[in-house]
Amino acid sequence: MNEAPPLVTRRSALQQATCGFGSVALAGLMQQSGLAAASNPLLPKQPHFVPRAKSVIFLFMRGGPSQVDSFDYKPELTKRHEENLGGGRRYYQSPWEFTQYGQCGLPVSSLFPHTGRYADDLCVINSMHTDIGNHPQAIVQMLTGSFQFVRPSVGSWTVYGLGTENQNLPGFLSINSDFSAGGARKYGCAFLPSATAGTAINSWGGGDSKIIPPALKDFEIPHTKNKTYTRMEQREQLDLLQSLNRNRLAQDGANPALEGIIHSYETAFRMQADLPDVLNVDQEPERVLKRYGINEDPTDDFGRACLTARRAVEAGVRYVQLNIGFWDQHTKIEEGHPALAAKSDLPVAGLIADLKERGLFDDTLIVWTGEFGRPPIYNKNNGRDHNAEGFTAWLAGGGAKGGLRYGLTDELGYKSVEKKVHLHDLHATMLHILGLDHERLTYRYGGRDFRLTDVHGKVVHDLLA
Amino acid sequence: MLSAGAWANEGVEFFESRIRPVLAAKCYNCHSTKATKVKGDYLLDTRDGIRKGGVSKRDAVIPGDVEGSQLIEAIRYRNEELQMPPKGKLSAAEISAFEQWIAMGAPDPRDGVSRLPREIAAENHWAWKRPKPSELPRVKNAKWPKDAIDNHVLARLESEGMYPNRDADRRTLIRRATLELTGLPPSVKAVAEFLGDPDPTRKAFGRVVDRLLADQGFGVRWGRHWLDVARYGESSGYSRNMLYPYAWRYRNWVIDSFNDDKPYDQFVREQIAGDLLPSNSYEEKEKQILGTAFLTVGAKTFNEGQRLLFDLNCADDQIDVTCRAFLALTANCARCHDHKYDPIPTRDYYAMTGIFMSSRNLAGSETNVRDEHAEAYPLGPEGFGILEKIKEAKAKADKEQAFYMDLVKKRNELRDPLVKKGIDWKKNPTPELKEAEAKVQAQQAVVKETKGAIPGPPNYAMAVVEGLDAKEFEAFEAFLKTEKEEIAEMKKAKKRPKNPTPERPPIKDSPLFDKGLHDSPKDLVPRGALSLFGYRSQTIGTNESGRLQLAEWITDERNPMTARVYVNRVWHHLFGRGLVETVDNFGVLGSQPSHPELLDQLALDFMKQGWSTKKLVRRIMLSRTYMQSSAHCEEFAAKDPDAALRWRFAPQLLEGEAIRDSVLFVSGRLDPVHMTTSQVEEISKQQALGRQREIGRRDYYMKDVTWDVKHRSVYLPMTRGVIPDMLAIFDAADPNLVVGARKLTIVPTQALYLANSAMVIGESKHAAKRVMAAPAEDRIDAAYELAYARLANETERATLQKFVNSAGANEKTWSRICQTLICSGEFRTIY
Repeated sequence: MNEAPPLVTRRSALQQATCGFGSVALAGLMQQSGLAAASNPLLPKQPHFVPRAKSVIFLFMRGGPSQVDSFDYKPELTKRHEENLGGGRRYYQSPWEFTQYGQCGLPVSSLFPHTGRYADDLCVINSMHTDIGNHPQAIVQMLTGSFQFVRPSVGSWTVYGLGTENQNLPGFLSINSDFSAGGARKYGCAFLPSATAGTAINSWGGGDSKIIPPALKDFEIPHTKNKTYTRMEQREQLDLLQSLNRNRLAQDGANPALEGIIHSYETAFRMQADLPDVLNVDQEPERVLKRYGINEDPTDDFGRACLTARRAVEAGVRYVQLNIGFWDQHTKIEEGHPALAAKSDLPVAGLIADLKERGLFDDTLIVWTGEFGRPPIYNKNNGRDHNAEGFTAWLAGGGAKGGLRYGLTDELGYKSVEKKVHLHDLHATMLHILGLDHERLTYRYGGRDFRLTDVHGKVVHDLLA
Repeated sequence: MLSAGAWANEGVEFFESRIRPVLAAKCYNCHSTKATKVKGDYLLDTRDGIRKGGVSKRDAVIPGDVEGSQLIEAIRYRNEELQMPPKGKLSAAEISAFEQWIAMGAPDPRDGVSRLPREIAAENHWAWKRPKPSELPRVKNAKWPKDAIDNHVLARLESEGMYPNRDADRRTLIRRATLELTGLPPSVKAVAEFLGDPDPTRKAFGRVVDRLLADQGFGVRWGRHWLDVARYGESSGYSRNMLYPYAWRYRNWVIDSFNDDKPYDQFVREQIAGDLLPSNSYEEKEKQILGTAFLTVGAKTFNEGQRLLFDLNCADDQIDVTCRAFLALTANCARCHDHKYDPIPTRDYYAMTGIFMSSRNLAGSETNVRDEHAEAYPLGPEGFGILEKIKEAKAKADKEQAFYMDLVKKRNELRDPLVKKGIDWKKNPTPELKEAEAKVQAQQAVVKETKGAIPGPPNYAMAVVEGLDAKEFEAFEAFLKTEKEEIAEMKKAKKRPKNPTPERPPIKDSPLFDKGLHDSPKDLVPRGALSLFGYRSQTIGTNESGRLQLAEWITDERNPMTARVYVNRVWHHLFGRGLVETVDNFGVLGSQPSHPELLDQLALDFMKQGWSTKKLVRRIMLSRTYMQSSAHCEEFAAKDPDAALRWRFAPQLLEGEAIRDSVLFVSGRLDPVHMTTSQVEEISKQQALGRQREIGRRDYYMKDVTWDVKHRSVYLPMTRGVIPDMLAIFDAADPNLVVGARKLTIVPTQALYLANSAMVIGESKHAAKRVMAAPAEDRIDAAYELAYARLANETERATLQKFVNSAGANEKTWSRICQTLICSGEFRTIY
């Protein structure tokens, strides 16, 4: 800010401004004066190059779904079925049958029949791998890039890089997250501006799988509803406030912070009207609710999460992280996995269908992944343990090549062996799809430039449409 | 290869005639000290440089080894990614000359060490040099300055053709000072007193400042500033978020240190080596040792299974916080490689690692993997002795209990036959039974007494103490071995084994870990402080961790950083911007001081005045620079929008804590209590099983914690990942990071909080009651005085009167007005 800012112009603009003063106009003024970054980091920014998608819906399968029971079909495993490995451990074929779907013939297990219908839209990565096979670290690494240090989450980096398109809504929502395994770090901004942090919807406090997260139905974001005064009264009060603020601004001569505050109230007033509206999925037509399995058991909760995500993205939210779990079946995987698949499969398929119908599919990147996978082995409790060396993720929507099955695990589905994709590569590719170069998206903190992928990450161009 | 003599003649001649001309013509442009930009960190203009290579870390010229030399690979142009010179391949004759030259043993007369321009710049960096006293700068407007600070500021302004602002009025001054020193607005009474003071403003203001510095609120607010830097948090954060039940004692230690005006050098020493400082009583020792929690209150990855990696990460956190907080250095960049910009070699990093790895972290946090952190420091006259005492007393009580059980058994043997026969044994005992019963009775009293003699559990603190010396370690290892065997036996017998005694670190040097990888240890590095200031830390004995020497080294008057960094922090808190803007980084990548001589002078005077924070604060606040108005000036704002040159007092935003506390102050409901506990300790006490003290585990923490309390914000639970909503919304410092300067944002969620939260609406109702206590015609002024410490101007009065007229002069209307004032920009701005 070395040039003289057009103080008089901006001030008089504000003085003339009535309540309906458009945020876009003000945003424009603030950007011109170079004040934008200081006061509102959420204003839209230019990406590094032409993006293939504008927003992200990250479907996070907490706990690590088993790849050989979902999207990584391994016939060889059937041959080695029940081969004893000692200690009650043995190779174990998937108890679920695989069917080939779509023109691409993608094999999908009977746990995910609805997702299977969109096989030709899925870009399945069978060769994922990560650094550590321990939930808390692996979860935090999948969502922030680092398990060792406190770093901004992927969503925060995205919002930092691109801003957000609807100033009346947060740029980043995290739905059904929990306090364990890193807590708010999973959608936190670390050293990035705090406005880039995820707004938690229905976060809950159980790291223990026995605790059932509260239902998303009837949830409301704190402080978006005034329970004391009517909307009319609030408007009057806001008018009073802004007139006092403007009066003070006139006395100050120039005060960018105060201008920012004035602006923030106008936005907040609209946000409190718009945000509950975005979250209120019940106003959707019956046909749409049905598509997500809303008001039906057991799909209601994740269905609501998915539909909220679609509504948010449609309204201009940049990044939505959905959480469902806990896919951690060390015991009786044949009970646990079907239960979670039943909760999430239909809603995910509904989301794809809905995005397509509304013309949003090509602008939205969907990512489906756990923090790691599971081995092709049953333990003595008929469950599968942890596996960081191979797992499956899939992409769909903007920028992702549909009908692709990329990379390989070994013939038993244990370790990623061919065209390996590390989670840093996944992050680099996600940013690339959004028009951001993961090596250029940096933030100076504590004397050095940080990035999401640290010194790692390669964009996997083969995954791009 | 050539013989030594021939080398000198023939070889050098070959170099001079065939090699040097090519280097000069084709390479020096990018690869010499004179290059405008050195490429790939490779310098060819000395023997040392041409051989050692650049960023690729490969030897570029290996005498005698043509194929192994990377330089040859580059000039041959066979590797597509490495072709030099980039503008065109050398001629075949030239390439062959280089091959021949290397085969000869690469004779090269060019002595000297090859240093990159950036390395040279780093060595000359201003911050490594000791502060110099300077003459009082001469100014044109000689009447303006009241303190040397003002001379420095004014001289700079005049050199830019600028001049300072007018003095601020008394209302502005007292509000500014009260908010900055205590985090609360001034009371109506305090304002009236100051306004009525007949003395000149500066003198009267001096009294205000003295009163505020003596207020307990000073420690609350300035303690919180330090807690930001110390990355204070009440849980381990990261992946397994375990509570730190005793962290609050460090919080209070910090608050008390500011209120007691503990000399800053002592404040530093206690945080690094409080357990090792001389003391005259256990109370004094305790006060000092509480400071060491600074080292262990950081985030920890408690479920890291590899002990060495876990310990290295802890040490990394300790090096980071020590160097950033006291020295504004990013030393932990040197964990994996020599610091890229500052002269901090990896060896220095591991010299410090050894110091911290030789210390025991008593975090007092139960964990599932790292049990040594469950230990805490027992408070009280006996220190660790009390634990022994409890153990002995318990053993004694157990013994007496066992003896009692024996006696009971013997008695029963005598009693039961009588009972069988239906004889009332109490009335008609046999003589033996009578005697046995008497023994039982007597022993029962003994049991009661010995049980009663078990000392109660002590209070605990978080702390860091020395690791074990060689002798202690040997004994401890032997003990662990027998314990391991015991545990194995118990397991074999399918008995539930006791928790193993936590491992305790021995005092020893750390190896240098290549590239920071814990599985690549290299040579041991002797423990010590950094080397970049030209003086070293004192010798560290074999039985000492070295923390004491580190503390002495940091607070040594020869240390160019310690005083500078601190006076800059104080300046930052008073003006909202440091003389060095990057308060946590004075390294090469940090910003330059806006007034270098002033910074030096303040640092020197600060040390001379006994490192007193209060004296420093007072001095700055009574400077004319500080007492300026914040009035805007179009012309100067255009030149210097952030008032880095201090042509005005730039308005600042209040932090979340101060906003919350101010709201409670205005409503009259602020609880002034100095909390000597924390909800975190209370909650963790309720947990029968320490291992369940994990946030999120079984939901208990969130269920038990109460946010709706009325005391100062600094006492609210600050667990990592779960900090009070309101503070998070207003940009509280992330307890995972060293935060010397908060980045305050303005976002709609803050507006939503102030407009809609039950807290603000509720407190506004209470504020309204206070306003309505005034006569109707004075209420507007009463509200303004309460919220802003000023009276309303005509426009404001008219606006509010109109609102009252239309909404009705009732409590609801006044609640809405009070809330509006709280929501306003002015309420959260320091002018």
